[in-house]
Amino acid sequence: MAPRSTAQRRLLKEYQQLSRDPPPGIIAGPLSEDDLFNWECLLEGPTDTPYENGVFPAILHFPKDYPLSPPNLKFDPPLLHPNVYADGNVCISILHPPGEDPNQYERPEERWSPVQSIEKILLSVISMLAEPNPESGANIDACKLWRDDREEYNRQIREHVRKTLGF
Amino acid sequence: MDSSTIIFIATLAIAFVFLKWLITPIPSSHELEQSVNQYQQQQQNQQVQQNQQGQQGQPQRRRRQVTDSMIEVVQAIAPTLTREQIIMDLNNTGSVEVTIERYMELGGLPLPPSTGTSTGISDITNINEASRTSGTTNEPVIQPRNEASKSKSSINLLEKYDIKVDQDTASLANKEFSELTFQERRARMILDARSRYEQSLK
Repeated sequence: MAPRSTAQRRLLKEYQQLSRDPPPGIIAGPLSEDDLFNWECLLEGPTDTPYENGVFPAILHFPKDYPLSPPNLKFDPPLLHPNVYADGNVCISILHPPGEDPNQYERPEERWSPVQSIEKILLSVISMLAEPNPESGANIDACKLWRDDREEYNRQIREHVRKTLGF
Repeated sequence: MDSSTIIFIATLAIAFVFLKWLITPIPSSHELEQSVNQYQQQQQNQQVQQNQQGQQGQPQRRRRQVTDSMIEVVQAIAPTLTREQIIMDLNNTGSVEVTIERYMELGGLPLPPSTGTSTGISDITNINEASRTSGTTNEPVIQPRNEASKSKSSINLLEKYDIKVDQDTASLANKEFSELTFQERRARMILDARSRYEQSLK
């Protein structure tokens, strides 16, 4: 194996911290030992939301210049949520590259920077599950459903949770 | 060469030695006491070690006693290694960082001479098999981590991760969370969610 890069050292350090002191409701680690740039994570749905009792697997893909550029997070299987694209990719401010938002929605400090961490990303995603942000919608259908027919939205998510748990 | 040049070079050499001493890792608080006890002994060893450094291939820092916390740190990163492998390498390197670096570069660590015939550095799967046959005492059987990459894309997480509800619930029930491997933590999380879901239906 080639000498480890900054990205690999950083990922290793974060994995070490996450497995020694795991935040509640979050599991994350590299998919295989040979490749630190693809992680698997499992997130528990927050309580008192339709996502309650659900476990949502996601793939974190890190660029080679991590932590300068943010990773990409993709729910696998995809999840119904206003801020999650139909293919499972997550759209939240902490995963956006550093700098000013061209649309002026997000403040620079909300966006990715090397001082953020994988743990912070995953905690933000969990709070995103609890509180969708319809202003920067990714999945238009989910946005509409969430805004116009909350009952049906909740029902579809509970159905998804039931299926994933094998009931 | 005039004397000022010699003094300049000597100053550089002293500064180098001093800086090297400064940047050696600082032992954490609970290791500190042990370190103090061993300090005198270490100082004697250090001379010998520094002489050996030139002869042995790999750089060695000041030796520190191998503690459980050091082994745990390595094991968290390299769950496929046996405790014996880690202890032996930590004994050689005396530093968690160096051991992990070696593990990352070699893809494994040499087995202790007593546990098997293959003492050389081989790939992870070989080490895995060797550690299984040599019987790793109370450690759970460790699956190769690569298993996860070929997990099926099913919406049902039990199928996706090949979890058997009854069997895995029983085997994971009386274990500390911090001792579990990644797969076991994953299974535990899904099984816990299942039982909460069942509770909520009642």
